[in-house]
Amino acid sequence: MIKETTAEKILDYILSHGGDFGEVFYEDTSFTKLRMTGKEIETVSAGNETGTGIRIFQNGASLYFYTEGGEEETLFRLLKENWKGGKPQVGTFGFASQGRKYYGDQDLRQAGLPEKAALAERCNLAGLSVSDRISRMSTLYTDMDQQVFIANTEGLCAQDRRNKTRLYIAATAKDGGSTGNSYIGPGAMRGFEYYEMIRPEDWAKKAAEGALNMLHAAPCPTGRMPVVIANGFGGLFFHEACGHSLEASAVADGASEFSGLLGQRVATDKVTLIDDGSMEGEWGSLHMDDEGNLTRRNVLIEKGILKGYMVDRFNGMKLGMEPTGSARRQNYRFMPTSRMTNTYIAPGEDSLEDMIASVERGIYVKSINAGSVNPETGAFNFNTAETYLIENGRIVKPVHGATLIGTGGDILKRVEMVGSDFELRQGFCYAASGAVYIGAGQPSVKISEMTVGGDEA
Amino acid sequence: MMREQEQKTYARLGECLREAGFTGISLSLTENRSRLTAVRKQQRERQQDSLDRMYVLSGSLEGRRGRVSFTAMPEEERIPELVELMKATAALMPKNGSPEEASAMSEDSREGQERRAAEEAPAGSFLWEDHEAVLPRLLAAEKRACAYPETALVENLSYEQKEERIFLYDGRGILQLTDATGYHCLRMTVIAKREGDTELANACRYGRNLEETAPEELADQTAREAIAGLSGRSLPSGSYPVILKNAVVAELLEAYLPAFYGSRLSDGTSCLSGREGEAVAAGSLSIRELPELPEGRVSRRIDDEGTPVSEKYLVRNGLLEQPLFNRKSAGEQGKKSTGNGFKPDLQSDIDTGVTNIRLEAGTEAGDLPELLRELGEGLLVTTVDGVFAGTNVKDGSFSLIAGGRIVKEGKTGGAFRQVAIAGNFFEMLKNTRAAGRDYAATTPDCACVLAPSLLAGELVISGT
Repeated sequence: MIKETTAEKILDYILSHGGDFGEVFYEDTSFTKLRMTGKEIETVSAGNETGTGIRIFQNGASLYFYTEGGEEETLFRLLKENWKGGKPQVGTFGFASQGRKYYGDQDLRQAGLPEKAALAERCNLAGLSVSDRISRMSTLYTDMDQQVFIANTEGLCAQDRRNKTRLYIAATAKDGGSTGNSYIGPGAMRGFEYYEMIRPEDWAKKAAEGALNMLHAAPCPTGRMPVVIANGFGGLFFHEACGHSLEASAVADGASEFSGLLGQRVATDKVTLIDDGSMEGEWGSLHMDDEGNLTRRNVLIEKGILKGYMVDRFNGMKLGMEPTGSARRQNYRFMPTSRMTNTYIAPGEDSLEDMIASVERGIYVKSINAGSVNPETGAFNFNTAETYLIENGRIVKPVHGATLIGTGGDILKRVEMVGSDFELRQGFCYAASGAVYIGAGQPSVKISEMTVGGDEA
Repeated sequence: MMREQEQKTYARLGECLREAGFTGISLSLTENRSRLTAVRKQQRERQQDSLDRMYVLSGSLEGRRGRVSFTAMPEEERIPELVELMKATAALMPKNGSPEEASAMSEDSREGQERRAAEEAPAGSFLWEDHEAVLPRLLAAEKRACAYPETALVENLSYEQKEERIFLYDGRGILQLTDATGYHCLRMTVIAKREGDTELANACRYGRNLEETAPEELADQTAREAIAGLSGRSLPSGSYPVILKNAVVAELLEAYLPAFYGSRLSDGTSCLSGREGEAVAAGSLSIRELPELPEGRVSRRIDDEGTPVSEKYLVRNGLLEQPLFNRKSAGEQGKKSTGNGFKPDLQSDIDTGVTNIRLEAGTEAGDLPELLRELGEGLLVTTVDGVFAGTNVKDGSFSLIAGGRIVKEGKTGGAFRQVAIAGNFFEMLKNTRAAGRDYAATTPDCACVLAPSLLAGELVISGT
C-alpha cells in the first residue's frame, strides 16, 4: 500500500506548483482468470497489479500520470519530468486529512485455485448433461480483490475494498448442420460464498437450453416492426440506447442528444431509468467511486421526465454540477470519468404475455450479446442472441440473431409497455476509462416499432 | 529492463523456484511508455504520461506449466507466497504441454541467432515529442475543422505516442531476447450540425511524428466528411450492391482474424475450419502478414514467446493458405509456431495474434472513383458500428449499423444512415469484383490491419 505521507507530499507538491486540484489513486489488485472447456483447463492466469495514478486539474485541463507500484521516488520522477507546473511557492498547501475512511467487506470467503477449477467443471458438466446435442461447454471463472486508496487536495483520504467474482458460461449445441450458441454470466461484489447463494449448475443449464433453442433458427426478418425485449440483461438495451448519452462526459459541451433537456419529457411515462452503484453485493456496485465519493441511487429519468445525469468531478466542473458517485476507471492506467454502475428500468405493471399477444408481426429478444452507441447522434446498435419471431400474438419460431438500431431519443418515446418481472444481470462496459463491470436490468419491455437488421433477403 | 534491485530479487526468486522443483523458468517484462496530448475548444484539455511495467513469470513443475503475472517485483518476504501461487497454477495445467511449448521454457534452448536479437535490439530510437511542441499543431487543426459553419464541436482531438519494449530473461536473470515497437497516432471526431440534424466523422492517422500525420489536412477532411453525412436518411429494406470504404473493410477484417487461428481451425470454432486450400476470397485478393510493413503500426522481430515473426500469406490469390500458430496451438497439431504467440493485453496469457495484416488486391486495384463508376448504382458504406458484437467468427456472419452515401451514375450523392447491413464476410470477399488502392488502417485499440475499399457484391440492408 502506498504510504499516506507519500500521497501527502505529492498533493502538497501539486498545490505549491500551480495545480488547482490534485488526486492520488493507488490500487493493489489480486486476480484469477481460469478457463475450462469440458473437463480440460485451457488457461490459468493469476497475479497481482499495483499502481498509482496522479491527476491534476490546472487551468481547466486534466493531467494524468501513472506508473506501476507506489514508490515515492518513481512517482516524483514521473511527475517532475512530465509536468511543467508553475513557480514553486513557499508555505503549506497540502493535504489536511479529514481522517482515513474505510469501506468494503473484509471477511469474505476465499477459495483456492482447485476449488475455482472444480466450480467451472461443475458448470460444464451440468450444461453437457442437458442434452447430447450440447457439443461444448466452456466456463471462464474470474475474480479480483481490488484495494483502492484515494487522497485529494480537498482532504479526502479513503480506502475501499472491492471483491468481485463472476462466471461466464458459454454453450454450443449442434444438430446435423445446425449450430446454436448461448451464454450466461452471473456475478457479484462478493467472495466465493456467492456460489453458495446461487446454484451455478442451474445457470449452466440455462445457457445450454438457450443454445438448444437456437438450433435450426430461421433467418431473421428485416425492417421496422415491434420488438419485445425480455427481462434481465435486456436492460443493456437502455444502457446503450440512452445510458451512455446521460454520462456527463457526453453531456458536457452540449455534445449529447440529451444535453440541456433536464426537466423535459424525453420518454413515455412508462420509463423510469435509474443508475445505482450502492446496491448491496451487486456486480456493478462500488462502496465509493473512483474519485472517493460514495456511490448512490441516481434517478436519471422519472416517468419519462429527464431528472439527472451521471456526473464525475471534471465534467461536473464544466456543467456546474456536483459529482454523483459515478466516476469509474478500469484500473490505475485510466483517468476516471462518468460511467454507469447498475443501470435499470424500474418495473411497471404490464405482463409479458400481454406484450406478445399485442404483436401482429415482430420479434421477441430473450437474450442479447452486446451493443454500442454514439452519444453525439444517439445512434445505437444492439446485437441480439436468443431471438424469436412473433406472429399474430404468438411466438412461432427461433430466428437468427439480429442487430437492432435506432436513436435513444426516438426509442424512449416508443416504450409502449413495461412489465413487472424485473431482473438485474451482469456484464462489462468498454469505454473511455476502460472495461468496467456493470449491472443492467429491466422487466420485459415492448418497443412499439424499431429497425431490425435481420438476415432475411 | 530490470533494475538492479529487481535483478537481485529475481535471482532469489529463481533459486526458490528451482528448489521447489521448477525447471524451464523464464521471465518476460513488458515496459510501456506513453504520452497523450488532447485539445478541445482551443484549449489544452487533457494530457497523460505513463511508464508502466508488467512481469510474467513462467516455469514447469513436473511437466506442468505455471504462470503468474505482476506489475512490481515482490518484496523478498513475499517470494514464498509467489512460489506457492506458481505451484497452484502449474498443478491445474495439463501435464507435459506440447513439445513445442515445452521448448519455449527451456533455459538452454536459445540458439545463437535468437541471442543476437537481444544484442541488436533497438534502444532509445523512438522519437518523443513534447506536449508543448504538439499543442499548437493540434489547436491549428481544431481551428481548421471549425472553419466550417456546420462544425459544432471537435472531440477527442488527440495525439498519442506509445512505445513498448519487451525483455525476455531466463531463470538466472540473463537477458535472452528484447524487442521494441511503437507508434504515433492522431485521432479526432468532428461533430457537424445543421437545422437540428447531427452527424459525426471519426479519423485516425499514423506517422513517425506529428508532422507526418498532417493534422490540419486530416481535420479538414474529417470536417468535410461529417458535413457530407448531414441530412442523411434511412433506406427501404432490400438487397443493394455496395462498396465498403477502406476503413470499414479494415475494421471488419480485424474482427475476423481469429478465423485464421490454428486453435480455432482445429476445434471447429472458425468459419474457415476444414477449408484449407479452398477459395475463401476472390482470386484477385490476398491477405498477408507483413511484420516489416513501413505503413504498419507494429514493428516486432519476435513474438511474445520469443519466436521470430515472419512474413506469410493467410490467403493467397483467394485460397486459404497459412493458419496462425503460437507454440501451444502448433504443438497440439505437431507443427511449428508461426511466430504468432502474442498476449492480447498485459495481464493475459499468450494467445494468437499478429503484427501487421494487409488485404491486397494485386495489379487490378483501381482508385475509389473507378470503383464508383464500376458500381454505377448502389451504396458507398463509409461507417459501420457494432463490430464488437455484430460479427460472428464461427459462421462468418455480420449484422451492423451503417451509414454512407447513395451512389447514382457512378457518383456519390446524398447521405444515408440508420440502416443495418448484414451478410457473410468471407462470402463478401469471394463476391468482390474490384478493390481500391486507398489503404486505411485500424485504430490503435485493435490489431493492425490495412485494407483498401472493396466493390463487394450485394448486402442485405434493413431500413424503413
